[in-house]
Amino acid sequence: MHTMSINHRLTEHLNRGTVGFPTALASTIGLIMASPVILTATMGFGIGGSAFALAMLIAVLLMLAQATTFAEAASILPTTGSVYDYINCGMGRFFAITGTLSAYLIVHVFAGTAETIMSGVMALVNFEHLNTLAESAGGSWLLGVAFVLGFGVLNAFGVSVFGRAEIILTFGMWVTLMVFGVLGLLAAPAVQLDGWFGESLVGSDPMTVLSLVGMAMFMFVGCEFVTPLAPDLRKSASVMPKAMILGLLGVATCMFVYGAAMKRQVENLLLDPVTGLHVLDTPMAIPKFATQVMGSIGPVWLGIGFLFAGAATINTLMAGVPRILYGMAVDGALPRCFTYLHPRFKTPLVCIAVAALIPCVHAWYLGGNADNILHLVLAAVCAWSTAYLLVTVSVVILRIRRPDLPRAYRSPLFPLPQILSSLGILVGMWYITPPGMNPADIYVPFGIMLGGTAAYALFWTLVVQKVNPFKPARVEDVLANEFAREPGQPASEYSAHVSSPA
Amino acid sequence: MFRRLLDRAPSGYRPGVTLEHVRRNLGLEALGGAFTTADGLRVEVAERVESQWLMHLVMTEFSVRAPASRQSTLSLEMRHIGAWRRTGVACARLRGESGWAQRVRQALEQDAALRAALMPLDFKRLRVQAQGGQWCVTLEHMGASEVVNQVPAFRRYIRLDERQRPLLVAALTHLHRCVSTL
Repeated sequence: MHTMSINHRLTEHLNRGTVGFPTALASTIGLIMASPVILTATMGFGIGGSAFALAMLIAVLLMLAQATTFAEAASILPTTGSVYDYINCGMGRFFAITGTLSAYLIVHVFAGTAETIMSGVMALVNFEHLNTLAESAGGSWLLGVAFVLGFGVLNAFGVSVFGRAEIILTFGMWVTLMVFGVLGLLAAPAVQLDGWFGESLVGSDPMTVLSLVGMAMFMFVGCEFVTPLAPDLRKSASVMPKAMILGLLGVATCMFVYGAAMKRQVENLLLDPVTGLHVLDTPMAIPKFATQVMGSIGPVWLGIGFLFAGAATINTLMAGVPRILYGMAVDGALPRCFTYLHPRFKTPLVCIAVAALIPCVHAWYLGGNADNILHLVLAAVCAWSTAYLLVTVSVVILRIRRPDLPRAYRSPLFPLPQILSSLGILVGMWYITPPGMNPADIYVPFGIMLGGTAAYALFWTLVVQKVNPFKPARVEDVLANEFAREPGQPASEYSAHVSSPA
Repeated sequence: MFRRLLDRAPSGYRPGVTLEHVRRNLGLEALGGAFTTADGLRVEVAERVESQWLMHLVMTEFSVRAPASRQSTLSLEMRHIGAWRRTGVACARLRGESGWAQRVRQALEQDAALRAALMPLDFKRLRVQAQGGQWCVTLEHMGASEVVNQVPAFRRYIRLDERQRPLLVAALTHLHRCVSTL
């Protein structure tokens, strides 16, 4: 009876919600149109050509397999905690804290800094005069820093800039890339290519393809971000896997069209014979492509697109992160000074200052050098892959340990997709360094961040929370806690219905 | 259609979830859009959503109502003053007849008990409005709000702490008393 109770409540929970399929799909696609992703795609197709296209196909298959795992996890635990709850129920709090911080915080430290550096570079590279001016003033990356500081100040005054423009920005960026891609394919080619994506500059043997899979995986970062919407999706058990698959295929199609068009329209000239730097390894490829496709209006359009996308992303960071810090300070997790509010604007000034300083100092420490972007991106991929592996292991553990749990969606051909995605991710991490790059530049910063996170997770669970860090949480407890938060559902009412497994 | 696109609720917005946090935060058995204080004052509670790119904020508006002596419309906003530290509470007219606004302003600014409750209260917005023979005082606190982020993906409720809770109730009670006597 208890199990029926939880089953009935879970079905009801999955079928309620206010977000439909188009919104879920837009959320998945919208997350991927960031400057570092576009640069990674340009570089990937530039150095790898058809080998990178193959690596992208492998990455799509890995992510599809991973998507079924996420979908099953979300159908067991349709909670807002998502990744944390999945790992907590499978492997315990230590891995849950490490995995969650790895997925969100470490990815953010690396990818957020990359966004700060690249948002300025990608926007200004399309405006020749402005770019020359910015370079003489210290570098176009400083525009990203100016965005951070500017939006930090605006948020300090309580000004909301991009409110209500979310849907327009998301589709605006997607349409921009598709329009440029399709026009680039339809226009007469400027470069004669072998095949759609041209030859690889670094070979096309299996090892080389594997070394490009890590880069290709970054194209799809964020597909799992649809999972926190799980409780919001109508009939999420059937809608969510479709949203993930369509989201992945939508992004892959967009990137293939963009990559093929770029290779057809921009000749990948060797810029520096000593370092082997080519045009497509640099942001300069973007305005060349835009001009080739649409004449003088092209770089202006793309420049404005990147400017808005970069600014909106950074504004979100400056509006959201300080409130989180403020909330943590109210709860006593951060020093009291973080609760300071400006008398007139009621904005958390100390929190805003800290949130602005983190990406600025990191970007400044790196000298705003766009050469570091790929290191940051690949370190972020390592962090993100670690979280994926932990989620997969947790879903497998739950299948074995708790076959009785109600699963509105079951990953097909279990455990084949899990083995495939885990092996693929491990191989991708092992061969993550593209030809010509020092592996230490990726593994050392990632290792330090992961080690620090794990040490914190151990300290927090053992010393502060005083719990067994490796004892998995009960799915029923996590669900009861989530349902108790629903409107009109008193906390005590639901816990009485929850079964207690032996 | 363009208007509808702009006005749509942000993706991931779950109506009522933040209010449920507020209910538990205030230690209430049930909320259902309103609660009654120990002094018998009815306080209406509603969510206000602020959309951002891949993120949204859900704030809570606390409102009290009282009969007004006039039918005309008046709108005033109260806020703290000071450059770094709070030095006082000021009231500014947004809409309505200036003579009436002046009297209401004076009454609100000079009420010692109201000032004592408002000074340490972390309110973000406080609006005093009269329309159709009724006063409506709406207060939005910095706490009792939720951040819903998509990148990185998380949601966090910002608590109304134990120091602010009695101040909020006291401020609403004094505001209700003040406007009722005008």
